[in-house]
Amino acid sequence: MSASFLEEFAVGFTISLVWLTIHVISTYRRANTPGRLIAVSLTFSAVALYLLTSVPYESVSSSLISLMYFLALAPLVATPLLLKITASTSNEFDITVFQEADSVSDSE
Amino acid sequence: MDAPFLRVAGGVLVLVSISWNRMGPSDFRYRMALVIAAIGILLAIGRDVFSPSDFYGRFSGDDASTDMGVILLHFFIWALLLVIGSMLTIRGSRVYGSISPATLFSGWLLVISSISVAMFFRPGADLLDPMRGVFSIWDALSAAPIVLGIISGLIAAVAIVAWSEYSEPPLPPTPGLDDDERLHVRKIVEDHLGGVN
Repeated sequence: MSASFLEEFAVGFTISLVWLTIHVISTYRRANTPGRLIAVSLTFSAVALYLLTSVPYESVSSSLISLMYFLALAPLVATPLLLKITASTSNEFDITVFQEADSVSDSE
Repeated sequence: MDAPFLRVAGGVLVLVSISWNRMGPSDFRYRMALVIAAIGILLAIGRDVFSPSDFYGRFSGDDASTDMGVILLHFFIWALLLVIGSMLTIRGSRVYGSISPATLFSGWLLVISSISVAMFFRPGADLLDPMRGVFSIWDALSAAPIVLGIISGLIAAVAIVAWSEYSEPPLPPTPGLDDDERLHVRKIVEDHLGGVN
């Protein structure tokens, strides 16, 4: 069973909001994570999940399957970046580069 | 517990592990990220991998492309190959020190394997026939609505974060380090520089 445009859109929208909530709660640091952020992201996620309950299970499942099919493009997208890193001749984290930069700043 | 519940729980744990992995080595949660990721992956695909039924039959069956357990396992296989391959490629390149041909070669081998699994060896009747089980860009484009939904959700998430950051009252300036703290920081920096003068 294939899902309608709106059902698939709702699944994607909910995934992003739930991911935000999971990230905010799991990385919580006292006096560092804004309380309003937790409250708003929880509220939005709860509303999105509530709306998603009206979408049939088969539609959610088929949406997730098409998402995973689409994500199979990821290795192809990553390849040019990895090629660039492989071909790169710069050595940004070499200790001698740090030492040279240090001596330049000392002489200044 | 039924399979969908386990898969959702596993997916949540994988997302938690990604967030914890971004917290930096000083946080305890950073060290637990890999363990949580392993538990999450086990929950998401364990039931299908360790099931007594004929898993290969499910992988190469006619309805494999609609079997969530099979699709999820296929996804984890190429994603794992891509993650490990990318890490090895970056480690073996000149960016993080001297170039290591063996590490680079292993990394690229895994990345190419990931592309092969993702693009050619797809679940279905043509599982072991790479010329027939090839990835279709038109089928991938059928995921456009869910991708648009994810992008819209991300825009909403950024708006929520920006609003909450700007609406919070600014924190008072942090007091400077005292002598003990200054010595402590100096010792950590010196230890990490390894005696470089």
